[in-house]
Amino acid sequence: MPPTKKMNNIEFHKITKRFGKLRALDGVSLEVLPGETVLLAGPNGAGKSTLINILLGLYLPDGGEIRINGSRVPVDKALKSRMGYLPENVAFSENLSGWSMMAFFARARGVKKQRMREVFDRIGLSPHAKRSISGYSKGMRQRLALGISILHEPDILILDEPTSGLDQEGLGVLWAVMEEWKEKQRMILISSHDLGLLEKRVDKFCIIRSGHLIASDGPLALRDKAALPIKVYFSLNGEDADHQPLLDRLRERFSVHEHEDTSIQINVASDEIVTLMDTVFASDSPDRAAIHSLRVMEPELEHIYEHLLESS
Amino acid sequence: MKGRVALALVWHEFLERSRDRWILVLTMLFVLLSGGITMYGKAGGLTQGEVVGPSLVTLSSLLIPLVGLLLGFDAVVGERERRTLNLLLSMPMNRWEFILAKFIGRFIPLAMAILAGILTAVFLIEASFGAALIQLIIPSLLLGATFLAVGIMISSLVVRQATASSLLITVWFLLVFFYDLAVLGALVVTDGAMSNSLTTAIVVSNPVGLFRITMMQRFGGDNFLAGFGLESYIPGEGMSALIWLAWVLIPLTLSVLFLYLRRQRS
Repeated sequence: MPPTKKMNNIEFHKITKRFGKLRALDGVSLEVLPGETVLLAGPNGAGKSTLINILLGLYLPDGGEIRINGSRVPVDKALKSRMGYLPENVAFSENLSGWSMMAFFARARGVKKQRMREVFDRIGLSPHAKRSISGYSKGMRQRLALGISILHEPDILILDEPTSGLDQEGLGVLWAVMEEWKEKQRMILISSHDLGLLEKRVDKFCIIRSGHLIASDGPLALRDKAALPIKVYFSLNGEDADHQPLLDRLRERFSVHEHEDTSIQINVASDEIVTLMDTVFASDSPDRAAIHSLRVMEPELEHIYEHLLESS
Repeated sequence: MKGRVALALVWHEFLERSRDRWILVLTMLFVLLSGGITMYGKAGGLTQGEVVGPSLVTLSSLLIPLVGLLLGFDAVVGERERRTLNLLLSMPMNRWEFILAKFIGRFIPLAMAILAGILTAVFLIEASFGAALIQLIIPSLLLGATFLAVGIMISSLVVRQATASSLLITVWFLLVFFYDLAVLGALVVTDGAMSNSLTTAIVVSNPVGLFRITMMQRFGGDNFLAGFGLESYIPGEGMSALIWLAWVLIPLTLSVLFLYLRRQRS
């Protein structure tokens, strides 16, 4: 892989890996495109880290191959020089300052000091650069590791549990880096259990279980696939008002999940939501006056993930 | 640039090890003891060739293996426990470059510690005998390199630093103390039936034994070993160099092999 050749995609093609009798990966295929952020999700031991380690050249696959622009490529020095990696819960040597630690990676990657300063600014650690790492908080260490992973502006950024230990400021740094990589049409591969935080920042979710890829889609397609009901909460006007007609009309067509004096919760499928709105808010509907407000809650990605895992 | 990652790692290892308090303490201890031995020898008016040199050999054969093992034992397993091993191996660097960089980067502070100890003795002793003491330098560096390589091998083999520490102490006791005792025991048990050539071969196949015998011969002269009937079996310089080389290269090669095997298993 020549160091300057444009990458149009990176593809895991039917990757298989065994550890003794354990089949850690069983014919997993997935693709990352430029400007795309792909999240690997799955329970512990599902095979996410094994897949990442194969891309990093740390493990050799027993079957399948890594492809770039459709051609099989070895994970050699040329490819490694185009990848940046943030390991999970990395603990750098406490004998050194943050600056010295990053300077090692800068020397190793052939990165100039100016870029180091830029990265320190970017991760918000410039005032702490010369401090010993032993004095860094967990979030600061994670930000330092993130800085090291982007130091050489890699085409492929691999982030293993990147949200771990990050506070709001740290998360802001992470989101900004992910946004920049997206804008520059670079690729991001993330392994994380923190689906809630990453939900809105990921283009494709790949769910792995026991070495098998059970879903690989964008968030919308994944919602359709899971077909989980949408929850609609009606907050009702005054306790003395008569809500029975509204309740009856809803019961005729939908499943009323919960009913109290001042609220109703119903569950509807995504294709029933228009019918619901028509039923309740039609101009001649007598129910409109009974409703104070309503909230529509789409199923959270974590629930979709759990549902897909259970049903696989 | 070719080998840039490995060169950066050499410098990084040197920086980090130079700040390791244990290494600084042991270096100071080596300097103080070698200086103390020399001053004691001078004050007592003893024949320096018979006292200072052999005492320094004994001191070096105890301390240098310990410092070498201490410098090597966390080289790989330490990175593994800190989760930086995968980060380092994911960079454009071969596994043999990684092990070699670890070895060289850690050998430099070890060599500085050894030189500090021996040169302290050289400066304190009479000029006429100082030149003889300088002969200690190369064998001491080789002894240190050997145990550093063994330390790195232990570090590549295990997955926990605590296991590496236990193995470090075991190896140190085995090679520095028990090995000679075992040879002595074998001589007693066999009632002297073991030939001198076999006894010598067993002794010099241990780097500590090779170091002791080579240096005792230099300080005590040919008569020293003749007294034990061993002089004709001591390996020449070529054979000694081969033994040293094997003790450095075999552990380092095994370290690389262990890292490659890791590519195949979890």
